[in-house]
Amino acid sequence: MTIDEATEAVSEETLVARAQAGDRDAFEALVARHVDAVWRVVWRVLRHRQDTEDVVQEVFLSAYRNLPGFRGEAGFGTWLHRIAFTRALNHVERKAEKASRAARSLEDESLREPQTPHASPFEELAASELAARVKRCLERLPAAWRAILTLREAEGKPYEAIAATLEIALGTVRSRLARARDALKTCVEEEPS
Amino acid sequence: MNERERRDELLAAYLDGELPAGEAAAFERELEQDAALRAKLDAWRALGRAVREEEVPAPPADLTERITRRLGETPRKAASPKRPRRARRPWLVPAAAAVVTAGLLGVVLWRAEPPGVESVPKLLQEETIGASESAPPSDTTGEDSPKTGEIVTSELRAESGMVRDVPPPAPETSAAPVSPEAGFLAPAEAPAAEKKVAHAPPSITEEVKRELESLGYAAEAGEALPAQKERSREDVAVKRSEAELAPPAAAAADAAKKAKVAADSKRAGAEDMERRAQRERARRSEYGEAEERYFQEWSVLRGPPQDERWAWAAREQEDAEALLRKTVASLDGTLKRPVQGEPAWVVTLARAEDVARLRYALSKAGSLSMNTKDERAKGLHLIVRVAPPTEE
Repeated sequence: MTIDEATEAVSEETLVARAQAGDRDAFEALVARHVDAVWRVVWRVLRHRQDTEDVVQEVFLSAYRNLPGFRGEAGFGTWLHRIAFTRALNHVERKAEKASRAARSLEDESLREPQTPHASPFEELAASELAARVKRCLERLPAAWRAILTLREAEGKPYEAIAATLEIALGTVRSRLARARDALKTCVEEEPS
Repeated sequence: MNERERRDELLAAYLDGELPAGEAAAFERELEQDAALRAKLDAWRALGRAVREEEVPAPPADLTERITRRLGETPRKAASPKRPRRARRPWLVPAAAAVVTAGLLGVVLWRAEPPGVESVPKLLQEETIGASESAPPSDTTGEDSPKTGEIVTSELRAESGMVRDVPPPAPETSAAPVSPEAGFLAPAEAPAAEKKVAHAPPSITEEVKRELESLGYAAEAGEALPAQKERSREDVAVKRSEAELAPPAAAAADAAKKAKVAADSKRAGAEDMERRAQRERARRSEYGEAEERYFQEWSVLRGPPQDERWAWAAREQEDAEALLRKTVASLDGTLKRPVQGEPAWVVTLARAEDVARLRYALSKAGSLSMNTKDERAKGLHLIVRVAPPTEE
């Protein structure tokens, strides 16, 4: 059995307990276990490589600093996720992304009722075209909406877990998801090929 | 929430399997009859897949190493009990507290006027006094339940922030301090005598209570209205007079006992108030504040140039006004706009029970609920007054 395999075999609770007691190796093992997952969610929210690198490091350093206070009410992974989303969203605020994105404004279409109901054109779009449009549109959505779409669509989290991670009410999860999806749909429909 | 938002939220929950079975079945029937809704469901599904399958770049190979290298220079905190969350916008906390406090007391709020605009409360004061003068003399005492001729101001939709009571207007001579929080003017504590004329205290009849309860406002119906609070204050005053007439020793003991009871009650009241304020702060920070920010952010992102960003809000407001006119007309009421350009209306209703009807109608109005999103920017204040329609 290699060292890596041995570490893998140790349960997460044990690693957390050891890390809480000051064992740095145990914490490093936790980093190795979770770094990819944290990277994925942070990137999905920030969509910027350098920023994601910075924030992922911040997430683990923050977890390390606060580990003695971690009481294990949620799993370590859930706790890390919560830190990751909070940090990523704070990062967006700090960078005043809002102002820079406002410059790339679109027409005010999402706020109008569609005049006539029309079939979604998505079936007609090639998968690669849809993916490209979704990618461009996700970059333009408010980060909080990207965060909730990430949790629901990419991570498949139930509403209750989303509410806990983002520290919002269940009703807010529902309404925010609806708004985010609607905005994404409107944007994708309008996005030029 | 308008109809479109309601359906979108149901659609989201349905798509995610988060609707209870009964609701899901009902929504499926709705789906069967609505091709546009089905198209949206398909679109959301396709988008969800696209989001899920979006390629995420791999992290740099040395990321773990970079993190672990920095662990050595990171001090660790000692274990401590969990602290409450820090408010994102500390300046909003006193504002929210002020709003909640005023709302609980049934007191009236008014948005601060921009410089140069004549004070709406002042105009309303004139209106209110005028109406009370035209009312039968018995009504000016404000002791009875509302009936024809009595003035009732009512918070229509405190929850949505849509409609607010009118403050009992401060007499011009009283330089009442203005609360700077949240851009609201705190109601001035008017002398009691003037209060009775300028703001005949509302009370709630069993009939209105039943009406409210039947409309799903049980909690509100059960809540003491300003008039009831006013009466309880009077009760305290009467009891105090009785105590003053008692023999000195007994009075002293009684006074000490009452002071203790009053202190306990005050403390309990303050704690209760604080708990409710905390809940309201949490609600606002969770939904009101954050959601509106995101929504506005999106509207700004997608909106026309910066200075026109509220154009859509103005459109909504027009819709709201149209609906308001229709509703008030159906209740044989009248609608006045005291200050041109200021989005505030005075609604005059002939019957007290129509307050509940208007409240219900407005709460169901999608356009009005939409409008509340921009209240901070545009403001929409309704004042309901129950009085005989003025003969014009």
